[in-house]
Amino acid sequence: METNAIFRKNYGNFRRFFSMLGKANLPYLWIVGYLAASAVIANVGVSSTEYSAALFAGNVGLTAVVLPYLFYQILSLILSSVSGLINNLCTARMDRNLRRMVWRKTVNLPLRFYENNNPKELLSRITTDISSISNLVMKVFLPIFTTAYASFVILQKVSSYDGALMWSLVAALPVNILISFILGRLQFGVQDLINRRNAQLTATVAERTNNLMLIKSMGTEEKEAGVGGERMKASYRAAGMNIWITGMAVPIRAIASVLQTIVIILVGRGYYASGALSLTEWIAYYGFAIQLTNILSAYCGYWTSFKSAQGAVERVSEIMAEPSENLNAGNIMDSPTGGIRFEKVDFSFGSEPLFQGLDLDIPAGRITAVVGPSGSGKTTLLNLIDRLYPLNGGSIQIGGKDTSDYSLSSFRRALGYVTQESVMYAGTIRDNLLHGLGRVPSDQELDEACAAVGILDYVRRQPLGYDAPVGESGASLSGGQRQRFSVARALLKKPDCLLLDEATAAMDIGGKAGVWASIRQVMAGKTVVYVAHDAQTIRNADYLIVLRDGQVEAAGEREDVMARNPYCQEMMENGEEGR
Amino acid sequence: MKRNGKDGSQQQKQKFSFRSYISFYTRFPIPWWLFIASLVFGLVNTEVVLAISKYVIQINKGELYNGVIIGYSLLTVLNAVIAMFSNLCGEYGIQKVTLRARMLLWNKILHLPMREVERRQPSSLISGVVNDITQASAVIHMIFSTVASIYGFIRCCVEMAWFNAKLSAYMLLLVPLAVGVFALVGQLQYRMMLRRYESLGAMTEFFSEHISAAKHVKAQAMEGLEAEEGLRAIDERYKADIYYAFMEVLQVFSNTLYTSIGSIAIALFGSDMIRKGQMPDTGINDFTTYKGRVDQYQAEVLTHYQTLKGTQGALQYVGVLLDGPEEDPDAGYDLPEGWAKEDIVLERVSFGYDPRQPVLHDLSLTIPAGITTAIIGNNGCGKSTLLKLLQGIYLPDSGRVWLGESAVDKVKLSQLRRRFGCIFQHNPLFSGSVRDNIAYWETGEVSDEAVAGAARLADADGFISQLPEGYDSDVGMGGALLSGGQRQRVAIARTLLSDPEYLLMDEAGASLDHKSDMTIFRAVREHMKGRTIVVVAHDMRTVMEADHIIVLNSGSLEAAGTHEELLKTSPTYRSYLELQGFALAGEEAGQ
Repeated sequence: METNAIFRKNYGNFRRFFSMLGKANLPYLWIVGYLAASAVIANVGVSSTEYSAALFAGNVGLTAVVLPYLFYQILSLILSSVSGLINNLCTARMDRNLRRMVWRKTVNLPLRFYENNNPKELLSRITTDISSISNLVMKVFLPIFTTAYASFVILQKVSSYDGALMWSLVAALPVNILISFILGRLQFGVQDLINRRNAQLTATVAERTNNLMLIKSMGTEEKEAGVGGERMKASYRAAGMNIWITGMAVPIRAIASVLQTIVIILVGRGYYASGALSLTEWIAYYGFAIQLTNILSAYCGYWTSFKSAQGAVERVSEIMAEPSENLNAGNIMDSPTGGIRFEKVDFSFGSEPLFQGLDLDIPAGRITAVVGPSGSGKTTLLNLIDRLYPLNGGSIQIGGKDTSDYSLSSFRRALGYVTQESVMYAGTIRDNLLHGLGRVPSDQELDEACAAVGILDYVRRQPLGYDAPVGESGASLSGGQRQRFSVARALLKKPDCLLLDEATAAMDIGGKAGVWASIRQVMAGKTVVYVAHDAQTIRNADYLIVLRDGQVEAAGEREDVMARNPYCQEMMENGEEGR
Repeated sequence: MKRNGKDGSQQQKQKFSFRSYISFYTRFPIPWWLFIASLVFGLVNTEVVLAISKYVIQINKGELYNGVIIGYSLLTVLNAVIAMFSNLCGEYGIQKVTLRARMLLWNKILHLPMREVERRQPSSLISGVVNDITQASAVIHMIFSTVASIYGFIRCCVEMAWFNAKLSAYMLLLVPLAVGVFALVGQLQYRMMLRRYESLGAMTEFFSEHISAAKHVKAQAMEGLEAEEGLRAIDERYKADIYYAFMEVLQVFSNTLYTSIGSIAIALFGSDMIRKGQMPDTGINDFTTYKGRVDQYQAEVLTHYQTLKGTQGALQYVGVLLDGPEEDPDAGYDLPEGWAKEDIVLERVSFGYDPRQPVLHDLSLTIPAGITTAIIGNNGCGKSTLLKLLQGIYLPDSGRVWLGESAVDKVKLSQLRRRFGCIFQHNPLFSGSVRDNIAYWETGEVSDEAVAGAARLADADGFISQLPEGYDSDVGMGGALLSGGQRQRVAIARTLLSDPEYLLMDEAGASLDHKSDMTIFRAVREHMKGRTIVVVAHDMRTVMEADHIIVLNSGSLEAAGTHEELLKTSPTYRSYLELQGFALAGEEAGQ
């Protein structure tokens, strides 16, 4: 029943699949080349079989049999290599073209798409899913033609010996093919189970190995040995099932092939006995019959890969159907100067409204802090200023002009935004500081930026200086160091408006103070908006906005708000008592 | 996984020892009978294969008698049945070895000293349990299969020689060619797999890094640059695929060339011999059939050899890991019974991850029992390292940590760690229900009241009761379904339920907002009244609530004492207070 459901569902997806392939710029010339080579090979194979049959029958004339046999041996050796090469190149190109297509699309998808999808899943769209799709084309779709043609050539040859012989062969085929098909499905099912069990094992082991510190300090080694052991036993049981199914498949296939051989021999025997078939022709016929079975069974085996590719096709098609962001429509934003004003802004994640008719003013040329309990919408506020999400209603203006009039790319480029994640890429310190900067600053300028965030000493201590590698995602740096580089990168851009989201949270007390003094100096007279939750950082603001549940609870000069607002008072409980 | 592969091959070149092979297989019972049964089935099957060959030859000669057909059919089925049993035994053997070795390795990993875990990287340990072990487990079976294949090879060679010695002698000349081709193919295989693997690793690394940085990219409008770099990563992978395409074809070509040369030699010499009457008319048929069997066994032998060689790295990795250091939680002296009313004393402790750059240097200090001690200092001054030394997670390079009269490195680790509870800045949860996580430490049954009580102390009961399934709600992998603050509260409840005698808190409030941080901190202190709490914090309000404060500066003790004392003695302490807006408070207190 389940199988039926799978087949029924396929038809709808085929159309989407082919429309996606249409966009992918497939290597059509190579595909045609591959098909042509396969066709030639099918014909050469037939001749090769006939000559080897003659040899087997004892027909050893040098020019009549032996030399042509050698010729075809060598020809098929060369041809099969060429066709293999074309096949591989075709797959490689298809992989590349599909990947390019998906990546170009993904890059331009809105932030919400990334938030709604697990990054690991998105990664496998580009890596493994693409490979399954190319495999599907190369191993399932194209072989429809090559297998059909090869079968046709063989059957044609057999029918040249005797038409009835060919029909008996055709009649004997289905049983074997059906068995290959069923076994293929069964094995696919078990393999799927094994993969799932192994994935669970990996997840369990990874979760614990990455947190061994906790296990040690809790002293729960024994318990975890048991938890892991259970997963291992589950994997073992799945492997055991596979052993039985794979094992049983061997005799079943053997019986099927024996039955078929019996049919082939019984049919051929009559013709051979009556003299309608010569010994050479009998041997050739027998060889053809075996070949035909092998070709078709192999093809049926590939069908099982269809199911695993089906999910991949669906997922990739889904990405391709997502609406992209239009980055270049609108006016060019040069310099975002002037105050930032939210006017009746509505915004929601899904059905939960976060902001409803939010009005808010952020003064120009000053430093504004946004504070509030977690979940009050602080980060979302910064994201909305940088236009990372579209508004559901209302408008945001900078210097009195609606921000949505500008093109997204010029607007976002004009604003500096240090996000919470302090992103670093594998590469050198210099690569990271210069990433996306669009100009190459002098070492002196880099020194100044690094000194401003208090990381110059660290860079100097590196034997390679700015060319020291930072590791994958900056793994060789501490959280505080990554944050310092992120701020330095933003300062190098010299933006007229800078947004900072918890950008100094991982720094120590002295480090924070130094970085904020630098921000104040470098951004003098420009607009800075930042989110923070600790008292020390908030003290750096001129202006303060308190958010609670998506509403402005208080806004004004920092000292005024600090003095009146209960949230701030709570936060400062002892902190300001001395004043 | 990538790292591990490289590591393995490097180690293997440096010091490949048979000892780790042998010692690996002496660590757990091996189901020998399964492997032996598999071997016996394999040997028997060789005879069946040869008998089938005789029938195949007859069929190819057109001797299509009923007896031939029946004999061929029965033997073919018998062959398949025997092969099935041989596989069943062998594969079950492999799986049993895998399971046993895996559990052994897992247990070992759980008991590795923390330093060893950090040195080896968790990702390589994970791949050790998941991948390397399966390769290592296949080795024994592989050796048995090789024996069976060699037997088959020799047996078929004899049969072939018996049929026609002269032609067989020609074939023997091809054996060096076979070995040469195989060596070449093996080498190509290794190189192309390595290149492919590396390129896949590089591409995966690129995309995993860049996809998770999507917000940064969007915020700076760097989509164009991003697309370009991504295309470059894709093209790198493409180049590796092209290399693979050529190499694989070369590989297939060499293999086919070898068999073709065999067929051609048989055709040339055989036809000549038939003409001279040295071989029957249909001799090429007979001979080719035997040659096919010989080739088949030869390929099996060589494949096993290649695979065996391929498992060396994995086996070496697992072997070295199992031979390596291990913590024994139950070795050492018993800790004295009862509630710990004993000071923690560090006596001239030095410790460094890298011997050239010590984190702690000749540090002596006392953490008084029964009160709350705060430790402060800059990033990298060794605060968190200090906490790990207290529980024996790390051992000092020199000096000693004392728990009253007991030296931390001499007592039973299981008892020692049981007395400590830890709350970090980021506390992992394990997949499972909220309840499972809170009751994580307990092995037996825990009452609902106890769980709810701990949750209340950690201010977690509010949000838990709002979850769709309350305490039975799933927290997701690593606690991903909860927010940072919620995870923190569950972790605090988990620690409190384990009822520790010493509580260590490392930036435990950093992911909570201030009000909850202080509320929870006070509740915890109330609950732990009379017991020892050690807090690492950046927020001076938390620090000032402590009874005793220790100021660390680059791994050395700058000052220790109460708030009032430190105002006089520690410039670092004063500057911290000033920076967080406590300046006047400090001066007033000082007056």
